[in-house]
Amino acid sequence: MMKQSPFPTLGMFLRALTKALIIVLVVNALLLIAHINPIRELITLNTWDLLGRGRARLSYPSDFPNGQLPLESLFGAHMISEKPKPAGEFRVVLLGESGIAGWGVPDQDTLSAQLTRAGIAVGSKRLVAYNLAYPQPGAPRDLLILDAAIDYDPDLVIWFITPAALDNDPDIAGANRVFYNLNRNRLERLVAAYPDLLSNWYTSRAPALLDQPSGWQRYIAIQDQTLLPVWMNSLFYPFITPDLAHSDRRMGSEPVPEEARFTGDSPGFKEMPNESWNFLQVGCMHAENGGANLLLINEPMLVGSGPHSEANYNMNYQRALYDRYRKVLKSFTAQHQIAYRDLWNIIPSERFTDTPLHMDAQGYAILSAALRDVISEGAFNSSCAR
Amino acid sequence: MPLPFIIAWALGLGAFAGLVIAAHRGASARTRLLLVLVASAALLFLFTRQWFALLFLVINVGLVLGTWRFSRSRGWLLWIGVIVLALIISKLPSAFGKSASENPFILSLTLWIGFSYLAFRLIHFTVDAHMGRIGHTTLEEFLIYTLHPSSLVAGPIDRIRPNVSSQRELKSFSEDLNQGLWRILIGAFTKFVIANPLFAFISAHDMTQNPNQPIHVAWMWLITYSFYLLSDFASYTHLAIGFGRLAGISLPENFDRPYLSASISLFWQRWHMTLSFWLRDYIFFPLARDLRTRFRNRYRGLIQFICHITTMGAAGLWHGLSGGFLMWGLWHGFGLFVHGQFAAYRGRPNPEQTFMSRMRTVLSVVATYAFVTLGWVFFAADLPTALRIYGRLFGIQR
Repeated sequence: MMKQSPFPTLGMFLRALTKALIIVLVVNALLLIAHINPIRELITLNTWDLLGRGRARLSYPSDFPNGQLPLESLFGAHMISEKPKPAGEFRVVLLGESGIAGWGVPDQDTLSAQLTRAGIAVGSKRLVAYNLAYPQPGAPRDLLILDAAIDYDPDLVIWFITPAALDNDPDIAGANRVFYNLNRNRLERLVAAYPDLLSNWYTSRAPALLDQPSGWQRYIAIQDQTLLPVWMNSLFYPFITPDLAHSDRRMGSEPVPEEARFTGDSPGFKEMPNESWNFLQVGCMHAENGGANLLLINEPMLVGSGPHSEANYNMNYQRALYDRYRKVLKSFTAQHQIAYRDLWNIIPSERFTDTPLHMDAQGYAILSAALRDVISEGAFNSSCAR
Repeated sequence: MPLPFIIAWALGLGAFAGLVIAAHRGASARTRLLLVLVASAALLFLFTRQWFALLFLVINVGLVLGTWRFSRSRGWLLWIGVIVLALIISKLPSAFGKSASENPFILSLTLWIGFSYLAFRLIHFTVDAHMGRIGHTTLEEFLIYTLHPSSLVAGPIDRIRPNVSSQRELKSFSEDLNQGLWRILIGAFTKFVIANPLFAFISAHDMTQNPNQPIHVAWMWLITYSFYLLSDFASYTHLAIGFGRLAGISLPENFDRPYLSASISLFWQRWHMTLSFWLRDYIFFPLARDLRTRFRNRYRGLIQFICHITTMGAAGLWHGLSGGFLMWGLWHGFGLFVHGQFAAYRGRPNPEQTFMSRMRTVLSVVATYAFVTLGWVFFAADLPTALRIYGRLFGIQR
């Protein structure tokens, strides 16, 4: 870098400085008028679409904490975008968290792979399932993924839900902060489309959830610098073997902890249903508006035994809280005519690995068989009412 | 903005503007000293947002006056001990690590901003005054040299003679403004456009907080960290030189494309130059001279080893009293020793530029960068964390 001033006189330097300042101000004003944020444009360019195509999952355990990308890019690298939907395909997309994403198991053992392998016939079509789960609970986040999935013409959306995904604590929503910031336009569009159901949630959380330029910062076109490190990291992903986070742990053989993570006193569960539950209703309506059915499943979890199991089902859930959640969910789905199945305890405890939701391949086989029965019965026709 | 900050901004900017005018109008050293003290006090308050920081400015003034008094006396060596002790005390927060925040005294020492640089200037003055190398310098000039706001926070560790010469020289106002503003512009660009985005990246993937990140993240973090350190520190040097130039003093360069160095010895002639030259002049050479005299040119290799390790160990501890900094210093000391031995055997380089010699230079630059960058792990983290980070970098699970 030039250490000596390249300008022979002070006057020339000041003139150049003034011109540079004027150019910066004009470019800034033009970008603001055109609603162009250069960083948001930049992060849509990435190596995934070019080199990382055909992935079976949106993200892998090692990816998600830092390697978050806008949904367009995540879908661009996913196998669902590889080719147009064949005429004979009954397309099912799976939404949920790490348990459904298949934390700890290879692609061929995930629920989506086993469902597809089962060769389930739905009418004259053959079921093909796509894994669109994302490791971390969050119903609002799942709705964003559902919105992106609609573009790929699904016939059925199977949405696995847990109490944690409906946690109404504003701080919990902050855990998905980067994801919401990356998909801010999509989130705002959904809120605008379903204002009576989502605007309260959005208004109360937006300050904590989304980067809010304040005062003079609003007049600077280049915003969202915090997304740059996330984007830079993601450029390397196509070159890295995914870390599947395999674990030999068997949580079912371990004692149930005395204290569960979520109890009836947890701030996000004092009131059920609450405004986070509206996302279920919006999800159902949005899927129907997009030409798909939605089937809501209460995700299977580990039901522990032994000491403390009379108080808690597992390390996550207190019995009283979980039983209340199931009861409320049943009446909520009935009230809003959302197709619903409660599969909470169908998996034997020995099939769970390192958390009360992560299963081994046999666990996913049991879940796949249960879903096959539900689908064969045709019990997935919602008719959501506002 | 609270009133104290408005007052501090007004006083600081006013005093600095006065300093700029005074330096180019040939104002008396006493007037300039008054402006230096006001500007430095305002800068320290704005930098730390604590009134308490001004107490350390008073302590600094006391130590500067003490240096003036004792440097030409028989107690000069003892006075150096006092400065070193003060330096150790100022570094206590780094020795306590995270627990420093639990002790109010230790915590308050974090407000002793820039004392590392001042301490080395004071030792330089004491030694050179004792050796009769200072020449004619007034107390006001000495105080301006040591307490000038442009070099108060992040150096460089300049020497008194060129500093005083530049204080006395009446320079062209427009030329100083042209050169000074240019350097400030370069410094601001380096800080806000290069260093800050790099910092955002290393914060988002902070291996020192979470060393169990994937291997590619570990390497990206380390390489980014190496360029962050360079750009961040170089930006402060640009700013210091730029502001110094505006206020009529010439400060020395500190960086000269260090990551393009073809050996670790060359690296230390281009990275934080004022520190490395200080270490060479006040630790390495005196120690080497003393040991060579004592052992009459025997054990040359061992003496070289002791001198490099001691000098760079001190360089590490100058940055902070922690195992990580010490290891960083020893890493470089070892590197300098090995390179010195290797260079002695290799003999004089061939001045003729051939394809092979160019390739050798490229490989040497890459190897030097790799060595320096791997050393930054110790600089960034405490010792146990550093070892875990190395484990991740080389795919060893720890």
